Amino acid sequence: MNWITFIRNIIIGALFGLLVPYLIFRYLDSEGLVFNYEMMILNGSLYLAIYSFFGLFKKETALRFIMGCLYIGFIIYFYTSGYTIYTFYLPHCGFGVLCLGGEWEGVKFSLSYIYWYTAVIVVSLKGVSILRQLIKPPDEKSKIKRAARQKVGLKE
Amino acid sequence: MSHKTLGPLDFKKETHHFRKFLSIVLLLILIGGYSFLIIYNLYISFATSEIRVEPSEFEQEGGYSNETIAIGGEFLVDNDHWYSIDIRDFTIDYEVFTDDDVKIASKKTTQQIPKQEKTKIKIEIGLDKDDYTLDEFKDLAEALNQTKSLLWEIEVSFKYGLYEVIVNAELESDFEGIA
Repeated sequence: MNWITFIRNIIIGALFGLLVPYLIFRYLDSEGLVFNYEMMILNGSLYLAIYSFFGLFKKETALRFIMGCLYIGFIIYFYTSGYTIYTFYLPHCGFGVLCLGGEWEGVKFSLSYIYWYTAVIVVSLKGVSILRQLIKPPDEKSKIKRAARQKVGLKE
Repeated sequence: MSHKTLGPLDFKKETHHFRKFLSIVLLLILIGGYSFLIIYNLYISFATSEIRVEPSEFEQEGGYSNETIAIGGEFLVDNDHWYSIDIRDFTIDYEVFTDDDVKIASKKTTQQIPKQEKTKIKIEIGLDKDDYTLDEFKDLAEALNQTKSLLWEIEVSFKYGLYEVIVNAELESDFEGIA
């Protein structure tokens, strides 16, 4: 188990999944007219849970690779429903489709921004990164640390 | 969970150099991919922020006729900054109503907007007597005669680079009725 990364991911997940969007969007849209706070909290909590869990596994393990594949599945979900750091916390109505609506200076409007090419590139790069973590040979420092831990009888 | 699943994978020692090489190639792909994304998105963001779309006043054209009613106006699309790129499939899809909610017309216009140019998109609504029954045409003329404004349900969409933007809005414009 990789407790240090686990704790680091909890902090990052709580900060960018819940605290930052809460502070920013409570300030921008205090009455909740444009943003759906329930979805923001739900997706933020999901991001926190999954990202923290993902950090629990050592990089060069098969289990981490499988978890990485599941994590990519959730990124695809986030690009579909929005409200996370991956989508700048904005609402979505489809994969890579940002949708905003409301009334501005008395004019009713709705805006769609279609950027699914970018979403596909980000998801693919995340996949490449997870694959790289699996096949990359551990460097000398990691080897020495692992050998030392095995020597004192600690489990990997 | 077995120790083998949780622990590092046991690759053969002979594959060490190949894995090292592959991980460097993948790292270069990652650096290149993320660099492309950041630079391209910054460029498109700046280029898009310079685009302006302005509607001009719409008015009845050509005076009153018992045979036709014509309303015209235009949109000016300003894409003339030096680092602009072509706007593809610039589409204006609209429905026009009088202030009594009588539908006057609906139309879709698509045009390509070249880079570094200002482009005028003409909107012309022609109501021809031949396309309606006599009563329908009289009702339309009457509704236009009485209305003080036109209500536009408009959808503007365009493609810019890898992105597509769609804006829907309900607008109101002053209208000089048929004299």
